[in-house]
Amino acid sequence: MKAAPLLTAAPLLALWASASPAAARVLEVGPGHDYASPSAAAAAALDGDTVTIAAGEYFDCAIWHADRLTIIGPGTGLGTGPGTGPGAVLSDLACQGKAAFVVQGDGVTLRGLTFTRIRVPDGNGAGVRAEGRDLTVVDSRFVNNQDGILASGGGFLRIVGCAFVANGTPGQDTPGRDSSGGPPTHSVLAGGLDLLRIENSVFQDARGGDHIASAARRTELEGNRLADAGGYIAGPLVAIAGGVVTLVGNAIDLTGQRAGRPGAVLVSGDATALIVRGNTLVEPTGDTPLVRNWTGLDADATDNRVPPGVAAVSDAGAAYHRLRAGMAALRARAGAAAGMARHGGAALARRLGLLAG
Amino acid sequence: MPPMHRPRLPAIALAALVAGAAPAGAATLEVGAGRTYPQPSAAAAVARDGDHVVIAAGEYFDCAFWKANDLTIEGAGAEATVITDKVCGGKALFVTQGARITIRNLTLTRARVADFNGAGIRAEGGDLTVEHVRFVNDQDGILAASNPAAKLIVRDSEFVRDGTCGGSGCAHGIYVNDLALLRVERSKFFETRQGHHIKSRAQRTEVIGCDMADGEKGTSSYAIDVPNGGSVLLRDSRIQKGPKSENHTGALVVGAEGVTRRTPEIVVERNRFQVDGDYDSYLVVNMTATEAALKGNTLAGRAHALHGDGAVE
Repeated sequence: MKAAPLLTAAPLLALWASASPAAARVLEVGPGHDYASPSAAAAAALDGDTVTIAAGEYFDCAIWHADRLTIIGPGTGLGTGPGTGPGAVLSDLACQGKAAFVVQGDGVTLRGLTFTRIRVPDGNGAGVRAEGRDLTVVDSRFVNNQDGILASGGGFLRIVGCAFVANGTPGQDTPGRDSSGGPPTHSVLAGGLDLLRIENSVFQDARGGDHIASAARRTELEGNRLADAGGYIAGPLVAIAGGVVTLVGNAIDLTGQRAGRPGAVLVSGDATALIVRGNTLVEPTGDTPLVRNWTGLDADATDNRVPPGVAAVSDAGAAYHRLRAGMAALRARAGAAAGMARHGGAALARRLGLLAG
Repeated sequence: MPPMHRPRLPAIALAALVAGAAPAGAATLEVGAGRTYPQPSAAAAVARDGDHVVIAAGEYFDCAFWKANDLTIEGAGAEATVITDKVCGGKALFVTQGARITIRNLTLTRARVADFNGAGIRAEGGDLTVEHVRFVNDQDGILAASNPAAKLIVRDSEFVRDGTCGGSGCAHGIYVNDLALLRVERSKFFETRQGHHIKSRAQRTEVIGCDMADGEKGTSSYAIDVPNGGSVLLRDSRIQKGPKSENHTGALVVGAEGVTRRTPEIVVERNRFQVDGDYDSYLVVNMTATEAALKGNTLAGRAHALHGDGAVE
């Protein structure tokens, strides 16, 4: 076959180049690779790139600007990942006073990474700060950070097969505990997302605030294991402010029980659906329901396994709570935001509201 | 062999070399009234690597850039040899630019510049050792520029009424940027003003056998600020926060500006922390994820041991 004449080939090539986006590349990070650190790769990454990070400890943090990135460590042995160790470990450094990874691009996937030891002076240093839309985090570990993942962007945050260990700080209002001086922090804190979905993940040894705090329009927790043992969460393990709430097939262990906890899961605010199905609660005192429902909406609760005498879903206190929340909302509309912040019923909304700002 | 004096003749240097005497050309430069060099700056202008500069008793309204390496700059005693007021390069009374310089037995006082960081010593070279030096009423006692390979060792020295806040920040008794090591031994800090007795961005900071006190009048902030993390050893020291302290948070505060250094350890042993004021304060405020190890410390007044990660024995 004859080679195409040059004059013909050139326009064809130009057409091809303009018709398809720049070819997605693979950027390799690690000793002996093109990029010594994740931050070096982040500075060079373009939309659609894949970044592979070799096993090892990186005293580094990175701001990921590009869209549709896939950032892959060698695996942690959790969830669906093939690895067996801590994988690629991001340690200590926070970018912009926020997180080890600040994800500003949309449609980013993180896989097989460990984030640890993140501290910032204002108390909300995170393994990952999600500022773009639609972040997926798979097979990753978050150990001993102020926040595991803090999502202040939009779209969805999907967490699959991850482990959250010893994250959180108690906040200034917790008696008997040193604190950051700020509000409590969490393993996962999601502001005004369309969807927070957490699957097949493990939460344990929290150091302060609830494992999960969500103000997303939909919150879906499915197949997770949450425990309070080894940590010191004083309140609920999960706090959800309104929206469509789905809790399916989760196992919650309150063996390290504290008195006064309103529920393993607290749902408040204006919910439009509350589905509680096939969950298991281990609770030794008989005092704490699986779900404390302060939404005023009837829950769809079926097939939950709870100890004798413990309610799967309790509405106790809902009327009073909603009255207080309503009063607080009225006050807020009247411009007295500072007054609202002092009332306990609005505390979660206040924390989550801060994120949107 | 008697010490040689400037002017240095080639024949003499050659003879010394041939005779196998100590470092080629190293000389003793005598500073003082009636001596070869009337002022420290005159000696600094001709000093060569390895020279020994001896500054006689007296008050010197002078400042100097020390550019040569391996210098020893020595006064007749901290009370006897006093360098005062004049600041070189808008920086310090002594600006050290060479490597492996030792300064001892003198006083550096009254350094003031318009941008509030006038220092007794500005360290811009390599390793620097300071012994038996008094820093009195300077903005910074010692201010060290970043040099990740350099060590600053301070022994048996005094920092009195140093520190100020103004311009874009504060000045401190000792303020070092990114050094390999800051070690301060058997030294005294008293009545520091507004700033910290010690602020260190070094990779490792050691404070051993020191006495750090506000007294009744001192307005210091933290005693020791390690704002970016890095290893810390605080041992056998006495820290007193007084009634006029302008920041009650703590004595040793690690990570207050955000962690940017590896922090392998934070060890705090056998210190005494006394709060002489109507407020609570912590011996250690640890804002890093490295567990602080506190052992055998004594607390008095409204002093508490630890805020943040770590353990107290």
